[in-house]
Amino acid sequence: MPPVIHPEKCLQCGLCAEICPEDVFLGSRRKTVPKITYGDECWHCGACVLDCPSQAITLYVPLPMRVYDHELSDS
Amino acid sequence: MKKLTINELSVDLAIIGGGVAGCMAAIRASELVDRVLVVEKCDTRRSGCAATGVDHIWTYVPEIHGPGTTVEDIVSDHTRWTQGFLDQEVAHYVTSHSYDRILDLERFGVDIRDASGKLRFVKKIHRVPNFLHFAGRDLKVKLTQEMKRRKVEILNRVMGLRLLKNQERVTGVIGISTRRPVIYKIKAKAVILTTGNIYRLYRNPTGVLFNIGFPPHETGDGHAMAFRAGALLQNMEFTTFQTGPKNFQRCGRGSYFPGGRMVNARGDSLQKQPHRATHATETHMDRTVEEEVAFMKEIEEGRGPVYMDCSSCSEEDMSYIRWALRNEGNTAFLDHLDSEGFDLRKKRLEFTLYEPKSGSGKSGLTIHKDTRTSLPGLFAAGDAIGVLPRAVMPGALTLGWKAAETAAQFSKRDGADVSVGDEEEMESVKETLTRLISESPGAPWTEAQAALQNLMSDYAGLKRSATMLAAGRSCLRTLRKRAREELRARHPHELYRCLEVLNLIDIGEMVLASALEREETRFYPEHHRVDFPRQDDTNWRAFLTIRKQEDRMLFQKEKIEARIC
Repeated sequence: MPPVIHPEKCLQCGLCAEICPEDVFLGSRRKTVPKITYGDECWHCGACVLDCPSQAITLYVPLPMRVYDHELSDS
Repeated sequence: MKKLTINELSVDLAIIGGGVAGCMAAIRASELVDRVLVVEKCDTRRSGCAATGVDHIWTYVPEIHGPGTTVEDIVSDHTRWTQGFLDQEVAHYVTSHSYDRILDLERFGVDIRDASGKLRFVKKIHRVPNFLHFAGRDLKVKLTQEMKRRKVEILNRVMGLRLLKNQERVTGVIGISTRRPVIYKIKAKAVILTTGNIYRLYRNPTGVLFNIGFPPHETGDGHAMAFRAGALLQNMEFTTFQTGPKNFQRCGRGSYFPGGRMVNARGDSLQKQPHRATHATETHMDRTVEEEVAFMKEIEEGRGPVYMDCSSCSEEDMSYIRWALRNEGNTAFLDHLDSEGFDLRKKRLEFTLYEPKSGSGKSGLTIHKDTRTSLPGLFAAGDAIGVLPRAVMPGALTLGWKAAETAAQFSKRDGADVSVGDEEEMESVKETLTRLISESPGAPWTEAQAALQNLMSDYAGLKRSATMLAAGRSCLRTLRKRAREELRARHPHELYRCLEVLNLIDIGEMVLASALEREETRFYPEHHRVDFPRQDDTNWRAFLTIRKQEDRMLFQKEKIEARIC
């Protein structure tokens, strides 16, 4: 479920649901906190994070996408 | 799902796809015809390749690059870079008009200059630094504002599905809402296809559904509908490879330059020349097929992995790279690295070779220099065209603009007889949709996509041969039959995902059949025929066009005349 909406910050404006290219928030209604309907179809583009007027959204990045070689010696 | 209803519209010009090319076409068309409609599958503010940003446009600025360098010099460099696989007249048009369109972007509110009012240029594939670096993060938002200011009608969340025709003449388009059970029957005096590239044809290695470096919503809808309507396409066998960060796949490698360099596990640089430079001066980043070959060689010869190394960047360099990445649509990735505590100056970032993609101006619709396709009434621009590799941003800006001019002229001159609808096509669409939304048990779209991606990666990937490609075609026929019978959608959202996969299956067949036809290796590893390992200029220095006639694919070789100086 990649986008995470923090309800205490959300203005319920619905902009994220309007602009998400993959329609992850489909079925959300204005004046309510948007719901994540198709989280698996997130492209992780961060459009919702960029455009949210109250910084109420963060992205959850799935595990296969964040396995870095942290033991690699500093270059 | 509720029963599908039909909504009919009639416009002077319908533009399918509201990416950069589609927006530019709409903006120009608003000055030339009355009713302009943009049909967009997502929302024009954040869709297409520039969805969350683009930071570069190649161009030619007479007062900066001339008189020492001419438009012909840039076209000549592009010709050499593509081995002549381009339309030189189109290349000339794009090169000589892109700066005008960049100035238009500035008029629309896009910040194209640095703090001192200067344009920033870096050198890449042409002889002079002519890749403009600019603040393009909100480019699509600005283009949408400009379209609205000009009263362009925007139909967001509608996918273009089939072209309507009267004899050979294109008279409109059938679209489907991605949110409601509504079919749009749009009659148009002229139609422009600007539907972008073809992604999701091959398997992405991470197993995360849409973890791909490029927009997942670009599924070649324009290629598929043009092909079904009988339009000419070309070079569908060519796919392109690109490297980028492993795990969190994101395009935009160029944004790590200047400053970053590709190194192997021993720390040796892959590039012939170091990238030491600041953004104000010339840098060199020869992004050619050879770089992908060099990348593969490091892995194959035991010197992998390959990394992006920014350790020698100054603070100024690093701040510039971060600025460029944000404008290139990589804000989410950069925020993610920050949250992981991954400091690019202290740790090397592993890169990988992404799965192949199609389009990028290298494979796609055949267009005349004025953007006409082979079908009257149909025009195309942007990444959906196949006549100018790496047309990318300048191609979208200039050819989108040009398509509007050519299509508007056609709309006014020949647009009278669009009242004749294509009922047969409409009935065929209804039949397909009715089957997809029926309540009988079936397979979700994700299964058909997985099957297609496995098939394409296994049979038409890095090593191609006649027997593998033929086996792939046979498997694809099975997949198509099963997908047509078994795919089911419970909601309009799932319905358009099913339709995307059906488009991708048709494109997959074009790729397999064209790859079988081209009996040579060209642009290694992009079309690597292990049974024809050499480049065969005697027989194959030619475009390979493809066209549908009834249920057959017709191929033709078009010899390339362009001289490489």
